[in-house]
Amino acid sequence: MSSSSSPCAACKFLRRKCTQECVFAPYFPPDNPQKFVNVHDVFGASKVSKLLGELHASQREETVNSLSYEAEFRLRDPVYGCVGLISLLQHRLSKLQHDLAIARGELAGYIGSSALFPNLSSHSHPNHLQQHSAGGPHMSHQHQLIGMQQPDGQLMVRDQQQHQQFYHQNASHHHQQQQQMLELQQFAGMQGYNGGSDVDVTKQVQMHDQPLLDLGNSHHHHDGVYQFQQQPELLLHQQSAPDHHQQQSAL
Amino acid sequence: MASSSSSSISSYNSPCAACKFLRRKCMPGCVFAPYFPPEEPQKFANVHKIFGASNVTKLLNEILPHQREDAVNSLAYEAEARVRDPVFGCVTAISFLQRQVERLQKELDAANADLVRFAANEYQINSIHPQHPMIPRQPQFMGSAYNNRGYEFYQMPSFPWNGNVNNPFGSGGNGY
Repeated sequence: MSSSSSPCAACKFLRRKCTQECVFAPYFPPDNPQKFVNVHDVFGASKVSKLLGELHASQREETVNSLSYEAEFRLRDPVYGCVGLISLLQHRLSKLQHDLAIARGELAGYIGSSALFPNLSSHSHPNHLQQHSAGGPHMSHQHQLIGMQQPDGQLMVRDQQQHQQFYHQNASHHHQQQQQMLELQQFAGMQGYNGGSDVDVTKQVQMHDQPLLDLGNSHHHHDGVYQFQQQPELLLHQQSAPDHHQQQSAL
Repeated sequence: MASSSSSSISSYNSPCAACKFLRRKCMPGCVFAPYFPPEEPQKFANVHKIFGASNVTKLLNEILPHQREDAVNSLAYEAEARVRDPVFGCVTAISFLQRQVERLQKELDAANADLVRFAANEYQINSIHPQHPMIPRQPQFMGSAYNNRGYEFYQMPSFPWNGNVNNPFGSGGNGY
């Protein structure tokens, strides 16, 4: 008889007996009832149970956590769910890339002028080091070694002269941004829906002054932040000034 | 006559992908028909597998009609991501993008700090060597004020993954 232990949040919600073999019990403790409520509302208990049953036991906790995460976002934003967050992050990333390009462009000017006054600069012996690192990004503040994220995702560490040239070449960074956003969109390798055939993800990315994520053909939803087109493919666009606060008014 | 003409009309139109999948008659007021065209069977198959037809119906009924297409497409996106990666779904992408944003924010902060340093150096040069024609420049751009702590609308719930999520690009690039 298992009534001595408290039923898990799932069985409490479903008003059933929580047995030893309960598939939900390890992941939905009774002290967090909202977690199961969210997951149940969005996915349903049977779908979750089936999904967990298809996975190895070692993967189930992470699966439940990611489902819970998605469910929470979907309940906060029934129209876009966590896809809205993806769009937001993409936009932020694009803005940061743009800002970084401008900052580096300005730095290029300083590096050029500081080369005329080496005694007063903070660098002495630039080392040339080229890496194709799979580790974390590296940026040296002494400017002896300057790490630059390349469009192909590799990290290139340059010496100062090369770095200055790089700054000048990439002062207007839009093309590089586009390249990086193209690669960002390959994260899911999303398929089109034409009979399940693969769709070239790069075709899905279009950079112009539109909101970042286009998923359908309806009108503006969040003051232009999310504009959906008829095609189900994900289309990336840039927008200069998203206003995410206005999302709430649409809910 | 009217019923036969209406039935002939409904049989004339191809059933939507949902009704095809569910093996039922696609009626004129089918809630799925506008969003699951018959030429995209996989879209509904994914959504059905992850969310279920009744949950999708319930969700669509709770939102305004002009938002439904967007909602279906975002559900389809999540469903496909979950089918491809049953453990993390589209959360993989979120994790990756968050890391990218953090990384770039740090780089931007560093670049701005460098700008300040160079500007200060130039001022020093101009002070020591006033005959030089250089005028200390104020950095024109100090970068954005973004930080990775505040997403204005989305309050981030606790994110339990600490680097265990694979790079969704799958290549050897420096994604993080």
